Amino acid sequence: MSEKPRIGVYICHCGLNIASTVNVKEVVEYAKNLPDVIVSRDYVFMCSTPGQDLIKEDIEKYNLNRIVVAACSPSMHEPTFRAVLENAGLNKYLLEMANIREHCSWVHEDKTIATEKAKDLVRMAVAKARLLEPLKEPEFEVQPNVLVLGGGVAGMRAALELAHWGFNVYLVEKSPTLGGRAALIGWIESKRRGSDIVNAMIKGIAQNPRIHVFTNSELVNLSGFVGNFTARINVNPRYVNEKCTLCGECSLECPIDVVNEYEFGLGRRKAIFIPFKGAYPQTYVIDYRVCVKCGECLKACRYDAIDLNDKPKTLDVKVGAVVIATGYDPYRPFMGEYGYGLHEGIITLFQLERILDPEGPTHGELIIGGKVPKSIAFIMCVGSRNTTPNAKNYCSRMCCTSTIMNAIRIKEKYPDTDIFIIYKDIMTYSSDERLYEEAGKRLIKFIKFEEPPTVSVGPEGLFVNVYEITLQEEIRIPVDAIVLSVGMVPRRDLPDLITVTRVGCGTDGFIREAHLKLRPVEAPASGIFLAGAVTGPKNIIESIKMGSAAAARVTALLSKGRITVEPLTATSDKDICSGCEVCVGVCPYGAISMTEMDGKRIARVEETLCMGCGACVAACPSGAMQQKGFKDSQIMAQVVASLGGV
Amino acid sequence: MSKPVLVIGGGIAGIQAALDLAEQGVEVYLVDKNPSIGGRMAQLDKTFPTLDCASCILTPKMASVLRYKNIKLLMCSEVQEVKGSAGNFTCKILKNPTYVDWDKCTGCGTCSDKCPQKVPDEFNLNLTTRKAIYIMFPQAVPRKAVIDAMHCLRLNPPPDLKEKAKGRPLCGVCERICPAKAIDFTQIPKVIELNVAAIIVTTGIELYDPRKIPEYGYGKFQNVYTQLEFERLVSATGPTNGHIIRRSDNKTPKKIAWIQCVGSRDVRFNHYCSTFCCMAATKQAILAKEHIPDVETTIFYMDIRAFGKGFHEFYKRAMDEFGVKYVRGKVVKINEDPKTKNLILTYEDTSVSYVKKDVFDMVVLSVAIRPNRVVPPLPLELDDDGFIKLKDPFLDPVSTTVDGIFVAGVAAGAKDIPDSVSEASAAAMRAALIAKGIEVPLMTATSFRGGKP
Amino acid sequence: MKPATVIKRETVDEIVKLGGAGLFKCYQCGSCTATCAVAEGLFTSFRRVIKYAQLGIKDKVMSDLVPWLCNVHGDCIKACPRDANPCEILAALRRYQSINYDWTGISAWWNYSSLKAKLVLSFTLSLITMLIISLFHGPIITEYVALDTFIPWQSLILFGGSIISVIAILLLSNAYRMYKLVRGNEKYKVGFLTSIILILRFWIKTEIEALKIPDKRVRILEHLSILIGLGLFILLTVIAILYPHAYNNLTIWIIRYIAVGALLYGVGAPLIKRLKRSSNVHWYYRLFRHSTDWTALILVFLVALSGGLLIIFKDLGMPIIAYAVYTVHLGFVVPFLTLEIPFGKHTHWLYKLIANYVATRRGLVRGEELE
Repeated sequence: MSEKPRIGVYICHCGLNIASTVNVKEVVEYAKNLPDVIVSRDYVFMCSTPGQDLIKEDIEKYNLNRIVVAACSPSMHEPTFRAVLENAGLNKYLLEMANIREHCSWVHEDKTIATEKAKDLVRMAVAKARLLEPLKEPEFEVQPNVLVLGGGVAGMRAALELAHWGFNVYLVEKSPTLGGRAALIGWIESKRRGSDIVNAMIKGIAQNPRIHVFTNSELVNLSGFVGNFTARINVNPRYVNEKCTLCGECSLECPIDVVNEYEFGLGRRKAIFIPFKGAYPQTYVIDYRVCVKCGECLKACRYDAIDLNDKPKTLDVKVGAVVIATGYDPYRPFMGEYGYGLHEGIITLFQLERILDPEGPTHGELIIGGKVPKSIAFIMCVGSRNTTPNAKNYCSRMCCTSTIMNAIRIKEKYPDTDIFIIYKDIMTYSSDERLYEEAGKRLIKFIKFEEPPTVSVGPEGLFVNVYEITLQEEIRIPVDAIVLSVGMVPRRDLPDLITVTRVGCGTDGFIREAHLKLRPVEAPASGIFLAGAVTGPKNIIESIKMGSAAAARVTALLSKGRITVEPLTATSDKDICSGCEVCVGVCPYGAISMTEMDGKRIARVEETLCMGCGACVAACPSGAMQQKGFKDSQIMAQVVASLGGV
Repeated sequence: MSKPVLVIGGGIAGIQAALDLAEQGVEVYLVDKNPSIGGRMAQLDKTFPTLDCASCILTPKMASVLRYKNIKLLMCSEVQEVKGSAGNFTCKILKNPTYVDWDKCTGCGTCSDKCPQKVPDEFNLNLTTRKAIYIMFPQAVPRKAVIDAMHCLRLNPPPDLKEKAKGRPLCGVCERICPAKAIDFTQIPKVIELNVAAIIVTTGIELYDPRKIPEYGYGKFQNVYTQLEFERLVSATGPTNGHIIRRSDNKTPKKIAWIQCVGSRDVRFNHYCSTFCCMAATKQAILAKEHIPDVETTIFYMDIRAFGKGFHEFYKRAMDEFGVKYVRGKVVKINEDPKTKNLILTYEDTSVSYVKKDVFDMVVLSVAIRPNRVVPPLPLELDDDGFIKLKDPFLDPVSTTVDGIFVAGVAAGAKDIPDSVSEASAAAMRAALIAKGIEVPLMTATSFRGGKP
Repeated sequence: MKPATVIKRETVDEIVKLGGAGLFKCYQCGSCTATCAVAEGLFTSFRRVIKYAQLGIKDKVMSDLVPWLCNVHGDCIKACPRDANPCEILAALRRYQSINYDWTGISAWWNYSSLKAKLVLSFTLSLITMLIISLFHGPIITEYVALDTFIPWQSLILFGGSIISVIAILLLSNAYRMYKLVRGNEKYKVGFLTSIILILRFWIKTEIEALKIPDKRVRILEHLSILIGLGLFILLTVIAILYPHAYNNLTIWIIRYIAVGALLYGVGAPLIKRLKRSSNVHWYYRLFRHSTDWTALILVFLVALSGGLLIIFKDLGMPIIAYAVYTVHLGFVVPFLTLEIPFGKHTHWLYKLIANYVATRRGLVRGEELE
């Protein structure tokens, strides 16, 4: 390092977050006396404009060349402060942050100890700052393509917006059709069904040449980095080609039948089937998991549409960003839960949606368990809100509105039906409250519980027993049918997706966003975006909005055609490297390879693949491998400083 | 090449939309009637359910707005007229005079210190005062002074003083002491005409006036607050520096009550649910416990709307970890003890079915939200509740009934911050497509006609 | 296993038909109970009986005495955020309960039939009575008004007495049925004397509170007038029996006209207000929409009016007209006594008394002020 370090230290109060436990003024004074520290200041919110301006002005005035900001976690504001340095003409990697909030004021109560610790942390940061070097961010061209995982309403919406903008979109859907869950929702408004909306979107997608649809397909590998991902897609065989006329003869002959997941279990389908009327692509498909290849369908087909030799295909596509919109699974009650599975008259809310759908298994007639019920009880919060020991610990958001909508629907067509909604809290937020009002006008009855109800199934029929909290009484209701208002849970195959895409999930099992409040459609990993119920229960409108929002964030990322990447990657010093190859095996990203240079065999790190994990640095026996921004000398300086040195 | 987009309203939704558009390479005019962007979120202390410090997560976004060269801020401005159609709107924006030359003003605040006129501070819900020349709040973006002409002695002298001065101009302290010589009393309102491709409306909310529900005594009883006022009390940058103390005697309350659904879910006032107040009350009760360890907090509710991500866990935490009490029963009237200024709440505890009265030191009303008025001048349709009507919530979720005008955030209906941010990005996407001149085919789905409905 | 309550459909339909239109608008917030001056003094809530009604829990609805504690102040109507009109729902519940207390089934007919049908029946009874009187009256003396010659008081007592006895039996048997239903299974918590004191205190306190509000003050005064008028008339009757010649005494005369005036005001004012829709009590038109409310007023008004006219014509010394009015008066008295009192709204005097008594003895009335 040629020049002498001139360090500016900035301590943030963070309102009272830091200042209520750490004596900021004392730390400021302490920092002033550290060697090479030219200026030391504090401000109530360092990340705000006045705070940032303080730093910028000081850099110009005092000719500072290293900045230490003692504030919150770098994961919050490192980019913010780096931008300040850049704006002031300094290399943005000449910033070191000391976390005196999450690592100090938020975890200690004793003010004296916390202040001393803050001083230690600042001293350590200053020690490293002295040794920081300017780093250049490599710039890369991005791929003008986007991978959208999930062909439900959120994914379709994102795909449409992105395609309109001009990107090529690879829309990958695991099931044989686009449409997702919304296609199976009976009525989303008084006159339109879920499939009406889905059909409109499918039409838009089919007509857009930039959207390449892969149904019956899965993402099996995702490598690369933001702007330059390589996605490996497995396209599973359909066994049916575009000659299919939807005549259905094959289905009649097929000997295999299974529970129909497109009716949420209300019936069966054959191994060769079409998921629903508006399915896209508009052909039948053979469920390869259950097909026994007997050939009956082949015999029945008059149009030469079946090809049992269809093979799985794999393709690699290069994309600049990935949108994950894989949705949810409905909670499935276990056998006996509220009597589920013990009586034909006990169904789930999703099954009710199918029943009320005019294109459903009963053609829209309210037939549950073989008869038209005169009285129905809806039990809310099944599988949600900790109501039972196996229930999830969150609210599934959409079930109250959905239940009331369906109840009103039933009352419209069958006004004499007695409907009881047995609830814990009615979550009809925003203008959905008017639905709750409407329910009152339709003579729908509400029963509030704290302890979940129990269902008795016996020769006298179905009964729901519940302790009504506002009556302080145990009530026993004889009903013809019970609808369990189940919520949303993360998909069963979500762990596979998490492994492939390396996103994280929260305690609720859904994928975690970068920031719950302000970055709801972004994953913490750069280049990966989220839309729809994959991050948590959402209704259809909210999922669609998130699809658009994710598209906006993708566009914001990729629209300039180039992006820069953090340069905190590993490099090998060719003079020290002995060519032992230990680092090559240790790297989880396959970023290191051996190369010839000046007659020596040395290790070489591919910058674009390096994630900066530091494993190779730790493994390197000769110390040749160093990570930029985390060099051994820099870290040692921090260690020495932590023990009291400077 | 692209045409600019107008974003009306500089709250979190407007900021997000502006940032997205800027990153997409579109020029943005961000208009706000206040001197600073930030909106309601800048008035919050912490956000639920993460208990993030609101300023900590908002101010960097505000700072980013300044960094983008293609976001042009029009502060203290109001939209007067909008004509035209998608791709080609002509908008007249009235830029109110700030009487300060913002090119020169450094935001030092000296003028404010010396100004003799004290005025109720709207940012702090009139719980404290500001000066006639002021900076809206310390982290304001842009951080520039503005003169409130109505209360300025020079610009609007009261008649008696005016007479006494016999025609000579009054005061002028700020002009004399401003180190940057930025004060300019000669400024006049200007009308700016903009031609934009699309408009995004993110005009946010105000609170329903609780004086319209006199049973709660708001305005009469000193220790009855609105949720937003309490938020300012508990904020480090608020009128009491984060100390929760009562208006009547500056004492720390020992028992605080929150009353939910004041003016919401009520056919006499507003039918809809204001969506976030249950969670906000829970958050405030937790904050109260953090500020005053032995305080008793009770929330009076009809339904606890803990529907979003992390909400139910937050609600449980409030009950189990912090000991916040929840009572199901709507408080119908508040009486005041004239000596102690404590408040007596009358309600039926529906879990035991009889009427109870309880005394509290401080009461916080979770008052309904109302959308800010935007029609006219915007040619939009409103729904039954007065929020901006969406064209088709399923197929065009952020479009209003006028093509090319989009809406995001609470202007379209009660919602919380993540949903507002999501909508703002969605609106930015749609607006950007129009700005780039990209034709987007219309998606329609008419009513289901097949089979029996 | 706690015994659970079973839900019945028909209850709900009946209550809705009886005027509980807002029944399902209620979302059980408790605003009505909390606003109610009466409910504040109780350890129970009428919101709960509305819930029972919503769910159709027939036996709980039938055996609940809270609807009878209502003083019809109407504050709940203003307080309800769903505009469910709880006061009217309680009125519908009272009708429902009356129907069930009555074993004859006449109350059911009375409550479900239209206003027209009720008036037709009432006036038919009136006509029959007037016919019988015109056929069997005593000698007509034209020199002075000799009412007790026209209809000898013995026949009056015989006839009237037999009607009244029948009515009394019906009323008391229904009242007993009510008492058994609302009494509950537990031992009384409060002693007899204490409860009398409690009721009086409770009543006086709530009514004095209500007097402070102009809207309610008018109604209370109207009710008070009726009580005063009736009381005075009873007094006058006793005096007339003991001192038959005191009729023309000036004091008696004054008392008589005060009584007439009070009664006419008490029953006439509400009727006229309702007909003209001129009351400034905003909630007046949200209540009393049921046909039984109309007959209650109309019949008692006709009785009072004809009675008042009778006294006037007697004092004016116009025999023929007096006898005619007397006939009409008795004609109106008969349906009033035989239909309205035992089966109509007027039963509420008796049921309310029983309900208040039982409520106090069961410990549902607060001893102290709710602080």
